[in-house]
Amino acid sequence: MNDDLREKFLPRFVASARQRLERASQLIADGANAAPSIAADLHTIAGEASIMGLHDVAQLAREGERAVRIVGGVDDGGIVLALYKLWRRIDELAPPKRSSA
Amino acid sequence: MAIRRKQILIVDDSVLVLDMMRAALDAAGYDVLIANDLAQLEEHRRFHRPDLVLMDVQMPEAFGDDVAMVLRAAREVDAPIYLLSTLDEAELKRRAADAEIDGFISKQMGAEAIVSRVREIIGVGGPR
Repeated sequence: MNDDLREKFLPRFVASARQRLERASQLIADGANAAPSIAADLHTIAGEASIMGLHDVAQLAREGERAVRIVGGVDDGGIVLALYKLWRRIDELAPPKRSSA
Repeated sequence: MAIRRKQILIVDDSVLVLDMMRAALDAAGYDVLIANDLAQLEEHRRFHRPDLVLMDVQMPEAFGDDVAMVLRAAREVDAPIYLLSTLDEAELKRRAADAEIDGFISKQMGAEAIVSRVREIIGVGGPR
């Protein structure tokens, strides 16, 4: 993807990925049995990142997806770590806005 | 005489993927139809004759290779059908062969390489 298109679509990608990661974190916090849903969200992040040429992001998302599918649940430290690494990388792409309270 | 731009139908459950691929393919001179679900796919299938179909695999309603197999078996789509997914190439190759469709393109290539692959399959796009 050329730089103009990447710049155009990056804000949407970041917003969407954050939303998916927040949903995954909430499901884990709730103790919900939501492995398929989390795996699907990570798969989507991997696909979107791949199209944009963000190959490191895509790789992290694929690793997380693989971890969820192998473990078959979400109560595993490896999955939380994978989500955390992905979240940090997304924040590097677009630092979150801080509220001026 | 007007030159008809080649038309590509993309099926994917991610609206962002659809919008990004439409932008990249449109810039390369292709007409792009997008379908976010099976209802939209069916609508396009009835009213258009695309030159190429790119089908995601893991979608909420169904696996894309299963849908492609149905379309191909029923001879409802004449155009080449390729899976477009981030799954590993070995799995994509197996799924495409099992579905008896034309092949696969890995999303892992990125948009520019996907456009190049499309050009290899159906030729160059028309004028913008």
